[in-house]
Amino acid sequence: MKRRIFTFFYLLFGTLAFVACEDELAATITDESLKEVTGTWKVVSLTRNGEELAQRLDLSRFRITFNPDGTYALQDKLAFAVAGPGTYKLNDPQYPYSLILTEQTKEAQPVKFQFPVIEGKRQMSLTFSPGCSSNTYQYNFVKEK
Amino acid sequence: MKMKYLIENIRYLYLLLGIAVVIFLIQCGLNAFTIEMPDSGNANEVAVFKLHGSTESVIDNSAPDPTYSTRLLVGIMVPKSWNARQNAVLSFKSGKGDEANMVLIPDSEVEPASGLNWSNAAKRRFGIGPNLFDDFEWLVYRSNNVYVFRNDDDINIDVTISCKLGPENMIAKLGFFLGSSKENLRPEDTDYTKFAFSDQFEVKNGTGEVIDFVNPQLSKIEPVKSLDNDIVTFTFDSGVTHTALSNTDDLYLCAKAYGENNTVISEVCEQTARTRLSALGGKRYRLDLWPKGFFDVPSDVIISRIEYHYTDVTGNIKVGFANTADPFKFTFICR
Repeated sequence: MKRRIFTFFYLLFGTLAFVACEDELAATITDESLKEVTGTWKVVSLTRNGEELAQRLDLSRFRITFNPDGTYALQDKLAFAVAGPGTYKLNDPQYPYSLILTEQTKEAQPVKFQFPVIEGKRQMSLTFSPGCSSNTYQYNFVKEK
Repeated sequence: MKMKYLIENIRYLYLLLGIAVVIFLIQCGLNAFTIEMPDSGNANEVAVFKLHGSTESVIDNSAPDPTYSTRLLVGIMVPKSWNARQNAVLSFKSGKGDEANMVLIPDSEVEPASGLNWSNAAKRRFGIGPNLFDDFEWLVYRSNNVYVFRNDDDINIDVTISCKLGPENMIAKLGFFLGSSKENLRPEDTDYTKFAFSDQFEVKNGTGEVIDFVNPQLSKIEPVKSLDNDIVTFTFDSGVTHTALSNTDDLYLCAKAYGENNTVISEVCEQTARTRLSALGGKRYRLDLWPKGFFDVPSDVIISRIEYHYTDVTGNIKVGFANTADPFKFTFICR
């Protein structure tokens, strides 16, 4: 008799646990958030063909600012995808892999876009070839403010 | 129990013996080959390189299948700018048959021993040899037909590689290998795969300054293929030869930028932080810069080439090309 009671108890507990898990899973939000890039970003890493250059160049003054109205501005100059201000947009607001920069009066420049979290901080990684196509540069930025 | 254990051990013993027999009795090895080629060729013209190799076939005639069937592999390592994928034709003559067009193994095909495509697998296995820096690609070709070897099938193989040279002046050592498709590029295999790097080969009468992959350079700029909107690295190697700057670590860049019409559009010749080279140790020094920013030219102005010297802190002592007063030269070009 005692064994039957225990068996019943285990079955009941198992069923409740399963139902509870099911509710938990159902409640999980699966929508991917929109990627928010507005703000001013500074360079923390720069590689050329995989070789780190950040410690060898003065990158301290270079900034890119993305404004809420869809425009961007540059401070200081570097070997970058664009040389002056213009407009920007992500190819997909939820799952972007490309940031399209359009300098005033010039053609749109799509650059490879990644948005990783590195050491607990969100970074924006842009990859492109401003000179020869055989030379690839990856700029990693963190938001300044 | 003991009997079963003994039988299992005997099985392993037979297995080992079998492997040993296969290894010792079937050896269709390649002998080392020689390279026949000119010292130089003209840019954009076809040059011919020949490899002379041979096989040494030792197969036990009493084996169940006393044959070794394989395709010939030929690899070439040439500068990327030659565009050899389009411009090279490989053929061979041998005691087993001739072929006029070997087939380039496509990048989509994986070399089984490395898991990489054949081009990258060859680069991992053979590297760039005696060249000092890399702008090369390995291309691997395979014979169309399978060739069957029996014991004592010792044959000669003469491979001819015809390739249109690239447009740039350069000095390089080229790489070649001969191999067997049955063995792939197993790193431990030295019997079926032979490789060698050539003597110095020069491409003349082309564009730009000579890109010297072989000889230690007093000065070099990397990446070799760059435009004025790249970040370029100047390296001065004072250890290559004694110069007027050998006794100082305080070195500066003095450079002129030329526009598309071959006139000087900017000159930077100052002894300040932005022109100062960083010491790397071993009498080597480096400066990284973005030419458009360094020369402060507008984004729509193109710098086609530069001429430069290295100076001491006074600016009075200058070292140029080949340790002379002539400037080093560099042309911004992608191919």
